[in-house]
Amino acid sequence: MIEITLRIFVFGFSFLVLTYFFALNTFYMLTNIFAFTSLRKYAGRLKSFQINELLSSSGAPPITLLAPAYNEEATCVASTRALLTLNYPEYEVLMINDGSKDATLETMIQAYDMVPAARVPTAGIDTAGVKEVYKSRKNPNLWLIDKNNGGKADALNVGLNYCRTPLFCAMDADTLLERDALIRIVRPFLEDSSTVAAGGIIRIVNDCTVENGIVTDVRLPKNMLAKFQVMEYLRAFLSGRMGWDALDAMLIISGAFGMFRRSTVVNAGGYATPRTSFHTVGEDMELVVRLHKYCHDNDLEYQVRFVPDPVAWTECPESLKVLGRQRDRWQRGLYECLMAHRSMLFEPKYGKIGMLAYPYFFFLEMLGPAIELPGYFVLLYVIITGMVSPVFAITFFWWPLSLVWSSL
Amino acid sequence: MPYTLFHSKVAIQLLSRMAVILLILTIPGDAYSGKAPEKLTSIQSSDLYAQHVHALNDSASGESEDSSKAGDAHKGKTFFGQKDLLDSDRFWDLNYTDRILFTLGVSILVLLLFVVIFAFVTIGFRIKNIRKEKRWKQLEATWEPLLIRVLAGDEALQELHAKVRKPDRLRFVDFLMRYTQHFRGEELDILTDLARPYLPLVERQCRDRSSEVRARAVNSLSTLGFQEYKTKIVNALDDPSPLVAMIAARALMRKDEPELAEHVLHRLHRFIHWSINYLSSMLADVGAAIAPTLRSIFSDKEYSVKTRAVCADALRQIHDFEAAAIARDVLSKETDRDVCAAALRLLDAVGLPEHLPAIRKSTDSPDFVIRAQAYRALGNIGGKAEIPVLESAMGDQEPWVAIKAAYGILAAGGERRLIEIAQSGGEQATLAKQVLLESDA
Repeated sequence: MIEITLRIFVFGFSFLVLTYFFALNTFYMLTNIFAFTSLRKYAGRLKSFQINELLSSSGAPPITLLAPAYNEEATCVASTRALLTLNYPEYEVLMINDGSKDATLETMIQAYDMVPAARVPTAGIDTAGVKEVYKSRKNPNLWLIDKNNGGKADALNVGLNYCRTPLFCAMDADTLLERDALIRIVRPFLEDSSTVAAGGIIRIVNDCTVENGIVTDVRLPKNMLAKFQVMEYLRAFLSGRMGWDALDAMLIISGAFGMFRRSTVVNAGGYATPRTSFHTVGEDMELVVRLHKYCHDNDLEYQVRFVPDPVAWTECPESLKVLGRQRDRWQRGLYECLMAHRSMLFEPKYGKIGMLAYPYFFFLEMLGPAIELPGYFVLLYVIITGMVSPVFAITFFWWPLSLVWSSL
Repeated sequence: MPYTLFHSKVAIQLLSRMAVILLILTIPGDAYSGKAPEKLTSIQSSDLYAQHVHALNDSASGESEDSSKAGDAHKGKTFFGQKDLLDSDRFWDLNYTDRILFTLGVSILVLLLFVVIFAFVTIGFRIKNIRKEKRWKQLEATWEPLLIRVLAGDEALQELHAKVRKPDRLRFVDFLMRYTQHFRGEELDILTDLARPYLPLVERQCRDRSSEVRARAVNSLSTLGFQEYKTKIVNALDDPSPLVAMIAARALMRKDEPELAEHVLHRLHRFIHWSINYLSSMLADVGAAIAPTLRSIFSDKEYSVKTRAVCADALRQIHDFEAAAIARDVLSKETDRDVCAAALRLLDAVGLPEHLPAIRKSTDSPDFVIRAQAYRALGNIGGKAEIPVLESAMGDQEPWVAIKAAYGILAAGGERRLIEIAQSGGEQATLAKQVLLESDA
């Protein structure tokens, strides 16, 4: 009886795994095809629409860069210097010191000759207390907000409260932006005034040469884990996000580099924190999902776009331990976000988001580990118990090799 | 019967069996059923086939007994059902195991085919791009020194034309386009002359199916052959692609010819998805010559609110004083946020004290965007008399209204009052300090 039950379970599970991988790979193939055509079109557009013309245009909207920093004493000066040399007609840099325990604040004050300055908030999102606002005497467009610790999302909300420009760019303090990144990522906002958010591509900087905050020589990392991540990032952005963008169903904008319309984000309630709604470690995705929901619920015309050429560089983990922590955080963020907005799942009101993107992320990305991990154990079980011929299994996994053998 | 984990012989047999099933099922039915037995015979008679059937029979005899005992779920006499395979001529006549093997084999082949195709396509594209880049660099290396000599007047145009082969004509235009960003005046004229013989080719691209190619062609024509292809560029305003239309519009607005700008103004609705700031800057670049048309659109309710807001902002940027009266009328009759805010921004720039009543009325608007712009304009036009009103507006619940009111006080000449507020330590002290700090007062 137990054996029959186990056999039925194994059969059912195998069917689930087969369906899962079929669906997953179908989505991958679809996004690949859409991404391919979109990238070709985008490259064609670039030839007729010069970014230099935008730079000289008085119509380029002012931007605020929000860079939350927590214990960034070692890197904050260099990162800020890189932010101050970007090619863009009008922008401010707001660094938010999220209650760092090291000397981030003192280092910034000293390096950029910062003095306490008056600046009133323009929005009233609930955040941890702000201690002081500083302005640089060296660089008039550089500000530093010192606040009590509240996490990245809370720090971004503080930045949002003090943002005075129609657009803001959320990023990590250690992200390196290419010099033309802002002018490139602002394009969707110029071309369509209903654009509320746009994401750019993130690339891995490990073992690349960086001079004065600019990546001068792009190299593959020596570390094998980092090499895999280079490939993973390129696939995720140039195929995945580009494909979802072509399908008009972008659900994720990376927290390391994304541009948003301030008024819409403020109206939607800012980033999710325990003070505003709930705690999530995936505040970047949660915001985008909420923007979709907010705009749909309020019948607002809106766009969320991905632009493949504004590049932001970031360090990726090189040890399994750190990588594991990162992936755990991502998976938890995905879970928290998708569960919080599960009312959007298969809800026709939300169009492609509710009927296509949300189900994909819910069933294939969020539940992926729950299918994949037991899959390994079930495979082991069926081989050990002889339910599947090990030879058959080996043949399946090693069929190219076997094919060579059989031809000998 | 326990399985041997690394029994490569059986693995090979499995694969060869899979291959045989595939081969048999891909042979046309009549051939398989004996009408054209040559292929089948060749398979059957092959050593490989004979060997694996034999081996399978040996290795799976235990299962064959079990399966026959289990009834006739499938007709095969052996586990791998080689007898069925030989007797059946259709997929559904195969036994269960062979069907799985067949499906697996087909799936693997299809996937393999996809992998090979994708790999070839990728490698092909890569090679093509590398070659293109290499060729492009070679051409540049040939053309560039000559172009510099032509621009310096040391060489005739024909010398460079002689270096442009027939297949490279469009590339040459692209090459010249890169230099147009850096040269003006006489040098630009030389570039135009150099491109002239090849522009008919570019013109043909205006009819291309791809909107990106059309956009590029319009861009090249507008830069290197504007006078000759003016009509073509105007026509491009009606191109189905918004991108092509915008490229044409920008080209027309860059020229100091107001009658060309009129074409764009009459099709402004086509660009209405673009950012208001971007559009208004583009219109303002033409200058005061288009102000009458902008005024008429701004005052005409038939146009969309966004189109009118764009015109109002363009009028503000060109400081059109005659538009102030229209802005006042708009404020007294309309409530739309975009239009009213644009009208108030316009009055802020060109308004007179006679427009104050309309502005004051707007300070009571329930819409904070309109209220904020109204206080800013009030301070700028009203002068010191408005300071008490502006001071009370600094306590408005909406931060933007308070900020604009504070700037209004400064614009009204109330710097001293702002210093007093800043020193008072009251609720608005920080805002007053901010305004004073940013105005360097």
